[in-house]
Amino acid sequence: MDSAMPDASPSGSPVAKKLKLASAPTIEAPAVGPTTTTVAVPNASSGIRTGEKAQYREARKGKAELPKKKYYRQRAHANPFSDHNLDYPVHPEAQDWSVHYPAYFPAAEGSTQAKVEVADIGCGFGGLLVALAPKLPNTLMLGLEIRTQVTEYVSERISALRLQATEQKEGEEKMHHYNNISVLRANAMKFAPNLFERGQLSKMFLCFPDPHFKARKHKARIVSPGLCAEYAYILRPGGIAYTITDVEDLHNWMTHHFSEHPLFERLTEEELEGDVGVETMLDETEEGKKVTRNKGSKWISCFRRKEDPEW
Amino acid sequence: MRHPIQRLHVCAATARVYAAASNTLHVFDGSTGALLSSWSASKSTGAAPTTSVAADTQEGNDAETNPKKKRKVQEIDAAHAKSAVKDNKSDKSRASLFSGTTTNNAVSKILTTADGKYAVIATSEDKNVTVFSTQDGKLEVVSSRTLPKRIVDLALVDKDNTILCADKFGDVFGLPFFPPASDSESTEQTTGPSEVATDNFKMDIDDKTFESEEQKQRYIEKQKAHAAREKAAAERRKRLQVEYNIPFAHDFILGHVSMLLCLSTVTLPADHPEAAGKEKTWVLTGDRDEHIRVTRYPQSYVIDGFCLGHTQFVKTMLTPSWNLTSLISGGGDEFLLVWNWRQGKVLQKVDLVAPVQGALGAETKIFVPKTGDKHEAEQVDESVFKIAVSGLWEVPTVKGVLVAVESVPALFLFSYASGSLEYTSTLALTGNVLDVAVKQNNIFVSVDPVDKAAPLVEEHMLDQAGQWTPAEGDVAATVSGAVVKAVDLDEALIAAITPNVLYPVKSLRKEYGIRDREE
Ligand SMILES: C[S@@+](CC[C@H](N)C(=O)[O-])C[C@H]1O[C@@H](n2cnc3c(N)ncnc32)[C@H](O)[C@@H]1O
Repeated sequence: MDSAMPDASPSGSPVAKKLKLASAPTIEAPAVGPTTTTVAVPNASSGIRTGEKAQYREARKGKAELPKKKYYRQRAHANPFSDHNLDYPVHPEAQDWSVHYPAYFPAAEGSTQAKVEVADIGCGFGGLLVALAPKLPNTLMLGLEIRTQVTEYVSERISALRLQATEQKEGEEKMHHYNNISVLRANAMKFAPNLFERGQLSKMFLCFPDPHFKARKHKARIVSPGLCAEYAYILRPGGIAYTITDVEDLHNWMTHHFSEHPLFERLTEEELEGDVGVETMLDETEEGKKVTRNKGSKWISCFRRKEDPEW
Repeated sequence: MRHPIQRLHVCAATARVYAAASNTLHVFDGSTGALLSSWSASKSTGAAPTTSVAADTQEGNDAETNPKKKRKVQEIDAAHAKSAVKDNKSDKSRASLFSGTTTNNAVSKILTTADGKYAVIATSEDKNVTVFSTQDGKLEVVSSRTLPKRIVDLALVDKDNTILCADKFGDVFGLPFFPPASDSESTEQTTGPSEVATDNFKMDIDDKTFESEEQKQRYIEKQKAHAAREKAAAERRKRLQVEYNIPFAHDFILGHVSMLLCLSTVTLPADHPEAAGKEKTWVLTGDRDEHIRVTRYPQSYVIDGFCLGHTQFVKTMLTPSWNLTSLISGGGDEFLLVWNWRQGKVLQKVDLVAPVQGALGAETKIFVPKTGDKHEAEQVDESVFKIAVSGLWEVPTVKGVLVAVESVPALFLFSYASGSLEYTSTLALTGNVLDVAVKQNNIFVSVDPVDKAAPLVEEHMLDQAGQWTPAEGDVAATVSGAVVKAVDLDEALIAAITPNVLYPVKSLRKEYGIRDREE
């Protein structure tokens, strides 16, 4: 999270409508201030030498044992503007999805090819994907993460889970196959249209994004008027953009800009009752768990992609 | 000392030739080459975004007779300067750093309105968009607006009522062609409601009578608390707004998280099969991350699609007027792409290596990527020529497309008369092509002449058969002579600063050599 963050006041802004769900163990903190919000993803300062980390990561490849996060931690901040040495397809058709979802590619004879339908933008350590996988068991879901080592962790985590599922013995409670989730290193703020066609997604998640709350850094934020248009482009009409954060100012910002965008409308509490996306992002992302441990508040707003207007 | 003409433009309505060398814009009669007028942007650049509205705008030439209006104009400037300094500490220090220094505040774009009555230019260093009236070829400033970010391209929409400005930070804004009267009031918004509240409250006390000192204090406390709440609410509201720092009327149109490099618009008339009975306009934007985005206008919140296929930056785009649903694009790739931009589909990939090789000679090595690895371009030797398309122009009379490649002393003619873009011929020139302006079958080309005594502009004819012939008359020579005479810059300065004005495209190639900071 942004250490330079909040000048967030402890005010109970009327704009911020806190969504309370029965299943949500959220506790109202007295103040949203730096002490409760800077639960920064620890970076390379975890006391493990770089060499040792690399060795571990190399050694555990292809194992069913789950990877340990501490060997994949990395500086929390990546500059979304820089020319990261990223690999991305020239256009969506150029992406080879069979390496990500081998169980679904190629499509079985006579059936249509499955495509990624859910994206977790800035997926971090992948908690949301792993939790959603059995809940939407045949929906292809993709995490996008800009940090290399964090992406590698998620990738290893998914491989390990897939392996565990295949190595299950007779009589054990059947675990999910995890073939429907994957992760890709990408700068989602620049290259989402390289990965997804118009209207490809039914859900996209923005969970606990970095706030970048200095006024002049609005272009670094994951939500802005320009990016809302891009999110509307990759989401199909009826699709949902989910946001959750523990930073009230960021919540207000995201809510304001999605609400202002003519192609989005905010979903009411009633409409979100029992929504699998909301339940999962509240409890299953790494950041969400941390906020719960620190007794911080979580702010949610979700938006439906409307039909394009007549013109 | 000569400064080449980095921008050349022919006004379709008046046939006048506009030529810009460094910060100076000249207007010439298109048939005689006579110099009609000149105007220079400042050499040293300020940093504070301002707007200044010349007194004699379209609202009538009433400044002389209306002193109130004149004063208002001055007030705007003063108020803006103040607010800009307040909002913009870092820019202020930057401004003082550069104050008094001469920069190559080059004209980077020239447009004229369809009726030929106005010209619009962008200047690179002071980030100004300046509108001129051009009656009888006389340049008179109508308005000048300073944007916070460097302007990379301009276009006119809404029947020339809106200027679209694309900036280096990836945003496109729409400015009303004529700054509205409300521009003079916009600064008042910077006075926060909190200050207003405090003021009211002071006045209030003076008017009030209190029974006791205690009661007065209570009242003051109450009022203070109220003011504080108002202030907090105002700050919260402010935190929700994107701070573009543009102190005049503007609309946010679209934003890329990338450097924009080119902007164009297409309007399909109501009777076009793809317009479904209603005239429709789209904005096309090209960026440094290989994207071409297709956005509806004015419903710019709807992205209709992307044209994805380039593997390097997209520097220039053209929608041929005789085939409005196709798009030709070029940039850092050694090929052009021809698109159906409505469908985002590549129709044709047009190789440029062979024609460029022909122009540069067999001994020049031209880079052709083989592996598809993005690092490849960096690894090749400096001596290997990397193609970067710097401009595309149409010649509707022959259904031709002219292609310029940066640092190549030739212009490539392609025919787009049939369904596909076919290479036709190469026009050799006396220097690298800087800009091209098309007046029917007359093609003006500004060059960076190898022979420092050679003219800055060449004129060529393209006959109906698509054959190049020498132009009659001496418009090019007259234009060149006048520009040479007018530009007065010291030699060292020109040597130091023109390369990026004349050759801006090369530097757009990405450098992956530097490892990501966080890796
Ligand atoms: C605070 S973390 C939240 C992670 C996760 N969503 C969760 O809730 O646990 C934000 C993540 O977004 C990633 N990120 C930031 N900008 C990004 C971008 N432009 N594209 C992809 N990922 C990005 C960061 O690297 C970081 O891992």
